[in-house]
Amino acid sequence: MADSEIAASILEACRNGDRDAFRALYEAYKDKVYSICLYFFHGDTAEASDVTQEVFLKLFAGIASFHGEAGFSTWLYRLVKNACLDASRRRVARARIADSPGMALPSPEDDLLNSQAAKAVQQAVSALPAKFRLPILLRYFSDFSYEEMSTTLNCSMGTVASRLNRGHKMLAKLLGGRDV
Amino acid sequence: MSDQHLSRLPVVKAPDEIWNSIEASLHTPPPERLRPWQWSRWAWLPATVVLLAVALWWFNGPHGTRWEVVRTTGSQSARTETVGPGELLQTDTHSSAEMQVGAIGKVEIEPGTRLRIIATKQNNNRLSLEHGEIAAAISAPPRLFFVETKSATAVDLGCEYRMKVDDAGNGLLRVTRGWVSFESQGRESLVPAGANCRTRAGAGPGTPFFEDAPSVLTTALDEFDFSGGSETALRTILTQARPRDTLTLWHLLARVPAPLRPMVYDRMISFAPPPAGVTRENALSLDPLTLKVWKDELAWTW
Amino acid sequence: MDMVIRSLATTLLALAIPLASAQSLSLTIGNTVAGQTPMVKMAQFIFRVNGCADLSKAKVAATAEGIVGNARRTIALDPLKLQQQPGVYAISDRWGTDGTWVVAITAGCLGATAGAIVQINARTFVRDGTQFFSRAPSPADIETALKAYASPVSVPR
Repeated sequence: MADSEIAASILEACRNGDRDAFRALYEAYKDKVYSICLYFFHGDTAEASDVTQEVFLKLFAGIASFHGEAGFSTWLYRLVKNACLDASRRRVARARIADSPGMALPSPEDDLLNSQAAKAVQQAVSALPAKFRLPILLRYFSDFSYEEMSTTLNCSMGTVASRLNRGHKMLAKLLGGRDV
Repeated sequence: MSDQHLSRLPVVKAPDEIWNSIEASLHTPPPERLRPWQWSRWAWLPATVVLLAVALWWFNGPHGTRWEVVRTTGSQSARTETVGPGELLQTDTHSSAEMQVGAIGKVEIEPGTRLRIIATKQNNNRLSLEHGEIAAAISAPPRLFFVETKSATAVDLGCEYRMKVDDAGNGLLRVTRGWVSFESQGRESLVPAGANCRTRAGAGPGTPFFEDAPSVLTTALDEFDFSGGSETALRTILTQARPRDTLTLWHLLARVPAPLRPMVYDRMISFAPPPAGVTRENALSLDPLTLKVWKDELAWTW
Repeated sequence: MDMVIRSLATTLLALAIPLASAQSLSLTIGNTVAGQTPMVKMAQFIFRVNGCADLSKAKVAATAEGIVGNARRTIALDPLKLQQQPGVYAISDRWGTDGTWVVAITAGCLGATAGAIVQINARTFVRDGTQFFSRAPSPADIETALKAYASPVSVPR
């Protein structure tokens, strides 16, 4: 979601402690944040839920200090990046293939996840090292420019480009055995 | 290339429970901060007055707010007012009220109720129920909302419940969602959803029991809790207990005289063997870890 | 004769072991207090998958099945996995206060299946109205349960 879609009034209301504004902010970003966390943690819904909760709690706690130096989305996704990396450092590293949230009773998400192509992509993303997985997911879900990515990831644009390039090459190899 | 592949990754809807947990974890909204232009307004005042203004802001801001109350009389509503620390809120026999407890929940006040606001702070939202009945629905981390009575204090652990007391402080707590700790002078009763707990002036909270427990059991429990704890009453409780009444029995284990504990223990294990880590010896000696492990497993039958 | 009995016993034993394994998966339904975490305090109830040798392989699914007015409704639920208690999940109300509702749960682990139909009331669940299965609850099971429990959902006062 572009910053222009988050009205300045909502951010101001959040700074003033307006609970409805918190909720509106949460509703605007929750699915993308959760999706990034879900794919980052190999489909672990519990981990994704915990980290999503942590991101928004930190956002609400720190929003008074957000004065628009960078775009709001940039700031938010920096929280996402830090929370994902912190959580993965805290827990035992494991490779886990995504579990479908449903079994005999499919939901629309299950229909998508269960499709062979989606599953293959998920598994390939899961197989990427964290330093390539995160930029790939942020780039895809947040639609950031390289400049915004460099601010979010706190590295140079050159490093962003390099990690995206190498991440995409790895994905292509995993998904079809061909280079980009 | 990869964007084509990545386009197959759907955006997954975040579970509703995440917001529930966030809401539960939120203490208060960030405090208001005085901006430079606000300070400059007071620049001409003596420093002491400025300090007093800050102190008043501190008291009435995030550390002491007023709660909004909407009163309803008969079929007519809604007179709105606010109440703050130290103030009384009373309804007559024809009126009720609904009070917003800061940002963490609400309290419905039934007709004929009198309560006093004790504190309205970030980590201490507290009222004293002097008589009457209230229904509380709180969504906050545990131990932020307290309802005092003359005989015991209900410590909200995140839930919905009703509390009714008379002028002497005798009353009944009924929990409908989540769970409540009912406490007084070191005596604590854990009351989960579907369970009740009586309280009596001079005795404190009784032993929790499920609302659907046999009346013979609850009558015997009243006698045990508030009329001297007779062995006859205890035997009736044990005889009448069903598997889910281990809520009551688990509490009784620590409340009966030591010579009677084996009787309670034996009745509890007649419903289900104790989990690994719970030995007869440790349970009868009221080892805290043992009792916790047992409670955690028993809770699945409550 | 002894040899016949012995070989019969061996055969029966050989059959019993996989039968026991296949039937060891089960569900326990619990009050939210058993969740031991404030995260589930507002949930309707929690459930636990028992007898799964590798909980990372467990899969669970749940739906709310109800009759509202004369309309039959089904709502997919997303059981919340409790990090602190492996194999434990929470179910939150997504069906509202109108009508009669049950929650149908299916759990699978390493080829074994277990199910339950949980009668719910306005705030929690009715323990006596919970049925357990060593398979997924069938549509017929659900319809039978709904007909049996069809009574207004009311808030305990």
